[in-house]
Amino acid sequence: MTDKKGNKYYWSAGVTKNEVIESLNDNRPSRFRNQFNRRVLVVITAACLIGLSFIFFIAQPKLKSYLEIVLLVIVFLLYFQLRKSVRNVADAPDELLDERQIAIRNSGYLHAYRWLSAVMFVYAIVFIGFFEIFSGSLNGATNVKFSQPLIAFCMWVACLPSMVLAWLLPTEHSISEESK
Amino acid sequence: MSRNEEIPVYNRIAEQRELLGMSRQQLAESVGVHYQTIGYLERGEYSPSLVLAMRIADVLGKDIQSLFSIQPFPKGKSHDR
Repeated sequence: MTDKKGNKYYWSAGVTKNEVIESLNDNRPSRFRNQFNRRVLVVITAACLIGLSFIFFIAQPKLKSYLEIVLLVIVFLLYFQLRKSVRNVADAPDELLDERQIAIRNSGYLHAYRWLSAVMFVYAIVFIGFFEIFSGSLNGATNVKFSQPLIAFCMWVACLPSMVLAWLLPTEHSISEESK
Repeated sequence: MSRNEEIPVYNRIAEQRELLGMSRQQLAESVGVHYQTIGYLERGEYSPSLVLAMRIADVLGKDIQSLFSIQPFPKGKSHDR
């Protein structure tokens, strides 16, 4: 799909052509060019996703609802910041990247898949344990809603490729030094 | 994130580029890659594909063998990997 200005939208990647090109050529200084800052962003995102996953443990419905909304908003903001911090390389299609960037993105997806397996394994263990321990007192757990862990899992899927790249990519050299 | 971290590919891209008075940006545009990729190549942090190596050699007007090597170049001729 292309609009009048030729700004193609990649549905499967969730990015536009102009968005990726602008991000790749962005020469403005940013704190997220630094690996340490990017890693802090990754840790905060992971903490929020873990928090969102296990929010159903909270007994008070009002507190649970407020926390869910707050965490969801934070996670969405972090998701977009993460994408930006890696110049959208994790989401960009092949035709907008060069061979090094494609290699980095592909390697990132390999790591992300492994981490996703680990996340799924932890979820499975925790939920099996939860049912084993509380199934008697929760009337078969039919009154427990698992929408938060499901949303959190979807966000893990969306965030992990960018999280992996944000963690692995080295600190960028200064733009003036790099382009001279 | 080098494709082959055990066997680095040494190169003289920086030396030849500077001899021709080209910026990394100009070289990047000539060979169709991002300017950061030229920086990664010059620092030896990324090993190029054969096609990219041939394109760079072509733009810099050099043989591929005189520009890339899996052995370090003699000192004084190049300080970059």
